[in-house]
Amino acid sequence: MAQTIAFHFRAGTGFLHRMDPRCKIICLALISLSTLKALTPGLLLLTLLFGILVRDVHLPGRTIFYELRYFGLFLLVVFVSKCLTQPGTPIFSLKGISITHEGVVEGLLAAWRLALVILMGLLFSVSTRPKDIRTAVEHLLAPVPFVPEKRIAVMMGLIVRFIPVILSTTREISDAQRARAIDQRKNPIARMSRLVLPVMRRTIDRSQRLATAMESRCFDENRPSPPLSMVKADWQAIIIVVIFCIVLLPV
Amino acid sequence: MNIIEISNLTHRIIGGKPILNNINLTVKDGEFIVVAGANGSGKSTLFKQLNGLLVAGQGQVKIDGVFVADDLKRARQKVGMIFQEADSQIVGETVFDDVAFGPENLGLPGEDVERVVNHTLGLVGLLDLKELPPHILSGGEKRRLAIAGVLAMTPKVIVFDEPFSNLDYPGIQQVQTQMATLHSEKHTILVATHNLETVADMADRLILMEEGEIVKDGPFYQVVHSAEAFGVRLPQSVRRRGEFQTWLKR
Repeated sequence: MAQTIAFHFRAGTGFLHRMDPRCKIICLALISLSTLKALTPGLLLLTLLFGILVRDVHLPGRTIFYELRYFGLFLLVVFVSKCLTQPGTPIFSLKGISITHEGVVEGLLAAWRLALVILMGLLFSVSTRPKDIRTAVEHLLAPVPFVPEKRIAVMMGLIVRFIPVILSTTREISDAQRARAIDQRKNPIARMSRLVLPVMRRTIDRSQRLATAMESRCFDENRPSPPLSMVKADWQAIIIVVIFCIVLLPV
Repeated sequence: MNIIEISNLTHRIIGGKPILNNINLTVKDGEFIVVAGANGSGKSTLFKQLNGLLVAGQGQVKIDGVFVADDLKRARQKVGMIFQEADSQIVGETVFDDVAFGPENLGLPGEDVERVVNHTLGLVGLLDLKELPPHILSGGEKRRLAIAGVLAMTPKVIVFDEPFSNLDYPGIQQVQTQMATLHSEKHTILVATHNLETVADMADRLILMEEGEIVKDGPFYQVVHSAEAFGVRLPQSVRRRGEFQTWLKR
């Protein structure tokens, strides 16, 4: 039952797929940070870069819209709130609420910036196996003292794995309670506690069974992490992104 | 040759009555054994002793001639366990990662892990789904993934704890097919189930348990007639044969 799902790895052979995952994380962090400061020319350049990368990973436009459909509402909220709160020259007023020219411009820029950060995240997750992301985090955290990088990497993997399971459990319990007329209860806190407690109980129970299953498959926290290797192209990519962020984006 | 030897095994919770009481059991290499009994009869606890997930206070368990307690890693590699709820035993973010989990724990190099995982996924028919996250698989596919995760560790014994629970008919058929294939490949199979119908055609031997003790042990079609006395439903095939004999007597 193969099906498309949001922010999910797709096999490929393009440049982005071949890049070292550590390099991708560093580049994503740099680009995301500088996007927040970029103005129109910088954002245009980033959009162009995004377009090139989309071609590289062969991601159809329809898939991008499908995967980001829920973020559209979020971007709209950001745009509208900027429009209504930014002081400046009013272009429309009604009952004391006014939309300003500066607000529209700022709103568009803010939504554009956020959209680019989300789209870059999408490209990262589409071109990187979850396991490689986990390994990269483990490698990147290794030099940091007092940080149990292996444990964090395992926890990350398990979170990615179990969020859909916990959501499905929550839906199941919620449906079962609605079938027994929980909607009739007026107190939202009572309703919430009736939902949260069984979900937590089942999650803890499931985590216990998971630990047993991992033990039965010889799990050892100190197992060697898969090797990663940065090649010349990865270093070149980092250098280009750094130059891109320092020189071009504040324009 | 005996692959499993259990002698005088007693497991109890502190202060409680024994969950397993003086179990003695030998299993020959390549046997297909069904362990049945009512809830709480000790089936799962017995299975967890086989790869050291539980260690009993009294008695000994040997796998392939070596005491489980002496080498837990070896025992866990030799005895693969497939749990009742597949969702709780799938740890990987993708189908591939989950099957790779065991071989990586055993310290196999990267290329070997990839080869083993691809081969194993091919065996259970999930190779095309290897990049997918496990939560979008069907119940039968998840159970096959759990089987693949165990097979990738090349075990000699495969233990199924209630493998047919929560599965629809196609899912049951998929698991049955896997079991039959594994048995034909000389794996030793142990299955705990309430539903004897699903394993009747494959089983060599039936063990009935009650309150932590083995109460009946023998060839499947000899022991199965006692099943209902111990809270296990008779398979339809056996029931029909009984009805037929009753009709003949009339």
